[in-house]
Amino acid sequence: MTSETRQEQAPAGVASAGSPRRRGRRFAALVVALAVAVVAATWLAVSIGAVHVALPQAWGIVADRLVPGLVPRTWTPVQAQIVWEFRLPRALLALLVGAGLAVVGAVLQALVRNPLADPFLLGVSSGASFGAVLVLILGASTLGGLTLSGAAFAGSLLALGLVYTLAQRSGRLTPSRLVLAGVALAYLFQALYSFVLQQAQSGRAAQQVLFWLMGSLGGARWHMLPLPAVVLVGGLVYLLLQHRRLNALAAGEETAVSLGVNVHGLRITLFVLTSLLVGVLVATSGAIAFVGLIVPHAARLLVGADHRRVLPVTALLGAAFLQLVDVAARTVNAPQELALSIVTALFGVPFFLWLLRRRSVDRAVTVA
Amino acid sequence: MRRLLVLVAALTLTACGQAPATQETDSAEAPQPGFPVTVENCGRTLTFDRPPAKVVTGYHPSLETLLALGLGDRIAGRTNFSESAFLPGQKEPYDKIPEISPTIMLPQKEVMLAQGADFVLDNAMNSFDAGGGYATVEELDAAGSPVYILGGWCSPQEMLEFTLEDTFTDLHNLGKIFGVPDRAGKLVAELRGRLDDVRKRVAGRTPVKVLATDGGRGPVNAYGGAGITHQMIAAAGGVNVLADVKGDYTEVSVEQISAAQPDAILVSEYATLRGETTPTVQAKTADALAIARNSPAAKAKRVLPVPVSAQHPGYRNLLAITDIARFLHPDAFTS
Repeated sequence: MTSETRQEQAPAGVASAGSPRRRGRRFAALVVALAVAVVAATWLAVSIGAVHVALPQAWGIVADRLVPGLVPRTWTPVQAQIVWEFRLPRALLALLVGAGLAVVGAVLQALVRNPLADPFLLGVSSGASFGAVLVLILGASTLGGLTLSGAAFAGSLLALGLVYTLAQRSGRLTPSRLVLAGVALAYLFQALYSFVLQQAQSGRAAQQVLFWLMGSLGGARWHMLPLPAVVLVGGLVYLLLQHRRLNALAAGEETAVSLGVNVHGLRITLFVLTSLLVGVLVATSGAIAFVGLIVPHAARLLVGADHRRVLPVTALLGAAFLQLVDVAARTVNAPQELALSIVTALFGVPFFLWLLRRRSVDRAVTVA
Repeated sequence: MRRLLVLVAALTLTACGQAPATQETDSAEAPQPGFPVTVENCGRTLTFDRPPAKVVTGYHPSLETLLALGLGDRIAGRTNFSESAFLPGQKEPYDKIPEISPTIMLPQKEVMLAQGADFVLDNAMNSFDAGGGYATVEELDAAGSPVYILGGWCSPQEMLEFTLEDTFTDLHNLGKIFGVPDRAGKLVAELRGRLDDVRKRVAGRTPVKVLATDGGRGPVNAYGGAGITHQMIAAAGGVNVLADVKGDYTEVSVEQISAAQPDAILVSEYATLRGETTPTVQAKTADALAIARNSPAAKAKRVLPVPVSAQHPGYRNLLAITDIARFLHPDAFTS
């Protein structure tokens, strides 16, 4: 992995009209509004669920855990378990996964210069799914005690390595080669897990696998949060530091080279970073479709194509969106749960179509 | 890609399958008294001119049911069963019957049609799905191998409507088809007697709150308020804590499981791949106990593994109700 720390003076991408100060103020207001939306969605997620826990109790439980003895304990151990062990980690994981998938989508759209790019383009999620299916069907003991998320992550690393080997030639990654290698390997891994699934004896096991493949945050626990959190925050900080080079890359290889960007090194770094992020996220939540495709476009419609703005807005939008999607997934049909990909599409598509019709989008959708 | 794999799998299975069975030649036999008979199953009318003599059974409960009727000598081919223990006395007849599939599913289309069966008995529609490379019910019908599905499990919707009475209907129908109505009547009377005994013993006792689960850390795979498992719990003197959840086998929120407060937990036991028993019952039990940590069931570690074959329509299903009743109400079985 090459790391180029030299600062280049690249133009700040395509930006909308207005004085820089006014644009800055508008952007700051937008970020604050989105942050409020994220907090509100999370508040909602902790407050409601399949089992009714009254608001004072729900937040009393959280407060009591943070500052023991702050409020009188008026709840049962079951309510405490539901709010503290299930709802809160689930809500926080929804934020991480939503933000992560959306940011990966934004970066990949710039990396391969294709508005259709999403986190599942590069075969990594299919590799993760393959690992997960192996554990669900063969059992953990067959795979040396790997947990579901451990096997999913191992599968994603395997896919990452294969895609990278196939896509690069003497240290150079080209977008078309990357897309083709990713898509081809995605088919390969789909074939492999379909094969394992078809060998499965029990329809019950197959049903469990199907649910996992469609994405779910239902298994969220505290211990699952640190890894995605660290990878996401680290990745986001790195990407923000690289926003100028991302803009240059999105504008085209010639532009980027003329601006002094080490295009090949940057592509490899971005590929490895996004693949790792997808691997970690898919391992915790399964393959949640659509977030990584539409949220970056929505963000560009709001703030233009400059990655310094696109990335934070994408992260916040993705977090709020997936939080609301997950609230719907576990309340619409409670106490049964819906797989997240169903809800992301059902709620996301109409919203996205409305967004597409609402404004002139051609400029934003063409990524750069 | 998927289609190619199915093809490869089908070819492999065909290649290593058995030699095609020779066609029956003595089909011009004199009609047996009482025949032809007709029975209704899955919305189709099946007509038999003589008792079937070359039967293929699907998932194991169908074989168990025929063995219970003393019809083991009519079975020409069966699937593999290695996911849990055999019913007493059934291992020996099982070993004598040729195995035509190494899994719990019927063999692929060509192998299946080559069996030349005159009757096919199974528990559900999974082994008749054209998409999976299997011979469909219609294709088998056309080949002279009429298919009977136990328990009326003809579609997911009909699985929800199952009642224990359906098994008695099946036993009577099988008695009719095989020309042994007396034997069927005797078995039905015996099984009804067992159920009545259970009912009498648990009558007047407080129903035990039962969670029937198949593991999972979230959402949890569990059995809702419709279908065979729900019926078993009720018949055994229990009350399903997920009675309000629509569906048979479904995904339920961890919150609901935590709040359900069961007194006892049933965990499904089965193998997922080629009969290799994975330590899933222990893992599933651990998951369920962790999520329902604050429940009386978890505090008392009151868990019963239930072979999933007993959660399918058939003979074993009715036997298992006694086992579950004993587990839920041990005091009722001391005398």
